[in-house]
Amino acid sequence: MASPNSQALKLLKRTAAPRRRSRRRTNAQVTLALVIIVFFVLLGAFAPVVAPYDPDLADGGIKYLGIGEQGHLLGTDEQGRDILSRLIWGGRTSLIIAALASLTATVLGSVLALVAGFSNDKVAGLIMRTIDIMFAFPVIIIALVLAVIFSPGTPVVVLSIVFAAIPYVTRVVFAEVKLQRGREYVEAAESLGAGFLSILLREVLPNVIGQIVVYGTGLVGGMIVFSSSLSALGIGVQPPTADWGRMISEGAKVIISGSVHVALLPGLVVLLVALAFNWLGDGLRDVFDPHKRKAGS
Amino acid sequence: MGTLKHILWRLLNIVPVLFVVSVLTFLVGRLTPGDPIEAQFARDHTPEQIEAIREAYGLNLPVWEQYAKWVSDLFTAGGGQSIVQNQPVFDILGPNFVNTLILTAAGVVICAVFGILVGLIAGTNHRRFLDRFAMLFVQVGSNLSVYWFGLILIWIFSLQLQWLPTSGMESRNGGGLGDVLAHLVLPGFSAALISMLVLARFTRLGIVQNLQADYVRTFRSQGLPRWKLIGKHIGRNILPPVVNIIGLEIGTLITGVIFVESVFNWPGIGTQLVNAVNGKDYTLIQGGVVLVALCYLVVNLLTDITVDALNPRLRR
Amino acid sequence: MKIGQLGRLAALKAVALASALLLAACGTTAGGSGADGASQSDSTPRKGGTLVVGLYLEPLALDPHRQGYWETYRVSSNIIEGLVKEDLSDPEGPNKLLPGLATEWKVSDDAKTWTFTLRKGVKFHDGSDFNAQAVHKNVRRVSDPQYEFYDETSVPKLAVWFGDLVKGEVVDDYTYSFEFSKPFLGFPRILAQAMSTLPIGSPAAWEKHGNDGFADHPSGTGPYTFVSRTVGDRIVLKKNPSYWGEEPYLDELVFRIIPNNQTRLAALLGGEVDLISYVQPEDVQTLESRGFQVPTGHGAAFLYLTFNYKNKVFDDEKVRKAIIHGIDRQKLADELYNGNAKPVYSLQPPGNEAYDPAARDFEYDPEKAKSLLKEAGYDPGELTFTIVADVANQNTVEWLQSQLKNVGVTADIVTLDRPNYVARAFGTPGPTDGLSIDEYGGTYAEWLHQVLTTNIAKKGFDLDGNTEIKDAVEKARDATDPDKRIELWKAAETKVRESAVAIPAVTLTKYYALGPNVRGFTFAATNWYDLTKVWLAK
Repeated sequence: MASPNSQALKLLKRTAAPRRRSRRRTNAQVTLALVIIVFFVLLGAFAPVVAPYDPDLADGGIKYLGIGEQGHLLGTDEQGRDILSRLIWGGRTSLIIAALASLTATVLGSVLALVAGFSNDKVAGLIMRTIDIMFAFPVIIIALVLAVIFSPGTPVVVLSIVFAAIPYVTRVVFAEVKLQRGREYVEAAESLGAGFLSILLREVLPNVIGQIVVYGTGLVGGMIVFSSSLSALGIGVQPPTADWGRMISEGAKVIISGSVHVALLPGLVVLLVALAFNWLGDGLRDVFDPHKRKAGS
Repeated sequence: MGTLKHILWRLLNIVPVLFVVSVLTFLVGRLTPGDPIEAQFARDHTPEQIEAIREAYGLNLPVWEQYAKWVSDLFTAGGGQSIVQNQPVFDILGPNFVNTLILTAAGVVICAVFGILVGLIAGTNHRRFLDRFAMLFVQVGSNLSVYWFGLILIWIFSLQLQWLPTSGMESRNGGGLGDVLAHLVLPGFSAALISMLVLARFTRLGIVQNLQADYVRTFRSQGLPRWKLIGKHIGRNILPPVVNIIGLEIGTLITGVIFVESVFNWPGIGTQLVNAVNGKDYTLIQGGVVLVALCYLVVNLLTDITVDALNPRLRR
Repeated sequence: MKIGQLGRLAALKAVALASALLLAACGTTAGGSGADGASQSDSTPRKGGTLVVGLYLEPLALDPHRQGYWETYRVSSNIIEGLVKEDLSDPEGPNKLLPGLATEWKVSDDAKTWTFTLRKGVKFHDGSDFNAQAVHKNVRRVSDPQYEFYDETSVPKLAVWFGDLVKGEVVDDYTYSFEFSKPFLGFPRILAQAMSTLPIGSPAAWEKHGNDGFADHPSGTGPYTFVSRTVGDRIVLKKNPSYWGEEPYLDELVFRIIPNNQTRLAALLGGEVDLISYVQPEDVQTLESRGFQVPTGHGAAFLYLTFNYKNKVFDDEKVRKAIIHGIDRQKLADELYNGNAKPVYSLQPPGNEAYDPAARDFEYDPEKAKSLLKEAGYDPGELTFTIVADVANQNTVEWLQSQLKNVGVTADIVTLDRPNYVARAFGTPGPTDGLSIDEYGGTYAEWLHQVLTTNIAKKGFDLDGNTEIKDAVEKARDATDPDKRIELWKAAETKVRESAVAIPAVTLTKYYALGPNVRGFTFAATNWYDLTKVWLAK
């Protein structure tokens, strides 16, 4: 099915190409994004040193402290745990999950796309139709069912994210591969009698890998947001492990009650990190995309 | 291939996809550990009684027979009896599904209006402050999880400002169309946020590309005003991708408004499906997923047809 | 000031977010949410109006004999009534019994036969007459396989009380008798309960619509009649103009289903609903500060743990005692529930007819726990099992886990959604499952029998093999002297307690929340409420 999505995504992917921003701005954007990401990665890595409190240390006497109250810089949550410390520790879980899941989805999606792009119409049709089916399934239902099968926890989050992201990756990369396939160098290699695998790995992959990396990077941000939504359904990372998504969903229990900051702070952190990954993806595309620029459209 | 023939061919293509979706949904239900009948009746029924109930639901038949029975139920028996609610599945999902469509429609309209507007502002102010600001606005929007941001919206607009109702579809005395519209603002906006970024990017890109195109330079040199240029000529050129994205948005929304529905207590199909999964109500899950998938595929098809009609050159 | 300020800022979302943060940081919770408009002086009940109730989950079938979930009964009790009622204006309990569809009742000397005089001139909502024949069809529906409308779904639910029913008999048009094979002194109070009992529905309705169809056309004798139901959205009832009892004040009841706790709270704060259940303890202060009423009660919210007797580890009484010794229930109530709970040390909870405030089982004593485990052959760290719980009890099980760790017991945790929890705890537990948590306690003395047969025995406890307990319970059930009945149940409870059969934990403080203009609501000592006395002030 020549679905609208593939066209749409193809177009979307090109967005950056003619943007022709000044290189300085692009660099500034990438730098800012990197600074944010590195900052949170470092915080997570050195959590035991940096965090002012034990993230799991509950104290029923100091629930829902406001910002700056009683030595808790960002207040406390529903069990009286220090929000700042949990944000620092939670970055570990959240970033690892989102990165791992995005990586898996990107690799699997790209493999599917490469195979589809270099097979005959029948195999390609089969693969792309499978992708259609994945699109047509409500992701949340998949996540909930996975949670029933494996019982909620990190693997379910990763699997759900992978399932949700694969169709998008596959479509984007498939479009790219098809573009490459028509190019002279591939035709030349084919005429020289190069094997299927060798064309795929030696000729095409190096030319699309940049695109794949770019798309995968942009994916991480969205997937952090998505995993936080899964936590809200109770299928995310299980307590007491600190995790941004879980902090949001637990904090969301008291937004209307008046303790807005408990959900707002992790929400803003997720927003910031997600934006950073978006900017990084966009910026990388501009830097990383020489042939695209030549090719125009 | 004639247009009609093409459409028919595409329509026919939906059948195998739907078939696979139905088989998968069915299998997922069967392969899931745990037993819906036990979940429902273990509390006060003996194992023998549970066995009898299982038989009454046909759950002792071979799997393929169960599948065949279910498919025939889809056409003749309203999707079969819900295990928890003991009513035909489509009787339960019907009214909810209409509500989901209403919410989706609102989301699409808001997304279209804001997305195109932001894209327009950004595109016409390319590389200026307004461009960056407008795009940041939608970027932020697309990275907010509705689960908390929706509550923040309720907190601000319903409780602090008291401009809008908090939840549900109608006020206590019902208020007709205006009332429903007021209830639609927050959930519709939250739903729209998801795809606003994509649409805005497209619009912006389309405008930027076209403004640099040769024909635009020609028109410009002839002294055609900028707004007329954008409205008439560029508009026509970027319409197909915009329609395409909107179609995409409808699909995303139908399969993804569950959170929005939960936060704003919108009586839609999403809440029902979550309940069904939690209650192990196989028949309800199966019916719901098939309904959603069918809808998604039909919307896709309609989008394609519209895009083709708008721009026959795109089709090949 | 706030509104103006926010109004300007709201135009830019990013800024609005910042201001939200700011407001939150300042701890600002107040706001003119329409709470201050109501004056408290108007004390004469006013007729008319619609009460909108926010339910936290979708009720099950509105069927007298298929009851499940309290939220179901909070709706259906307005439509369908029983022969006997409890006085729901009493917040303490045990509640007084009041005449319902029966005006009086008496028991035979052997305590096996109960005869009820039925109320005359009562009609079901569908127009058919309420009389002994109608009661008989209700009885046949749940006990007589020969009856065309014998309902297999209901029978097991009622078996705990009606399993010993020998026959129900129409004595005359307005007299009906129940004969049991054993003495059953507590029967009238059982009839006044919500589940596993016999509220009277209109037989004409199930004869017309079938047993499954009844729930879509529920018909009883209650103060409100069924108007409509939209699954996932609302149930609407309107006043029954020809109600036999005191006329209710409200014209219409609307039950909206709002599962998200925060959304339900917002709906109340925004004035869209008037009464919500399942109020979170954290929200109480917010609500009260804004002029909302938050009635408090202990109701039937009794939390207790049961052992999985299919796991042979728990055959050893020492192990069970050790675990009880290892749990500090006072601390559970104070710390985990922030004082919104009281510790309980017997299986007959406060509010029950046979509750004994002096009863104590095995006090918190970690050293004793360790030495008992040692006697039973477990060194610290050797005893391992899984606690299975409803996700709603996640925090509780985590707390238990840490308590048990203190006495050298390693507990894993599995939390499941409601149906899966029931299936695992009551149906097929895992081999290492150890404890599960349930919540509910009856107000009637026979509750002990109910919890033993429908919960503890279901989890593998060999009731027949524990003759001391069985005999004591049988003796209480066989009581024919009303003056001895409560004493006998207390004695039975003592036996159960001494054998450490289960772990009573706490009774939870529960809250409803009411709009500022709702009057006449009482938090009765049970899990449902009476809306006929409720009215809305201007």
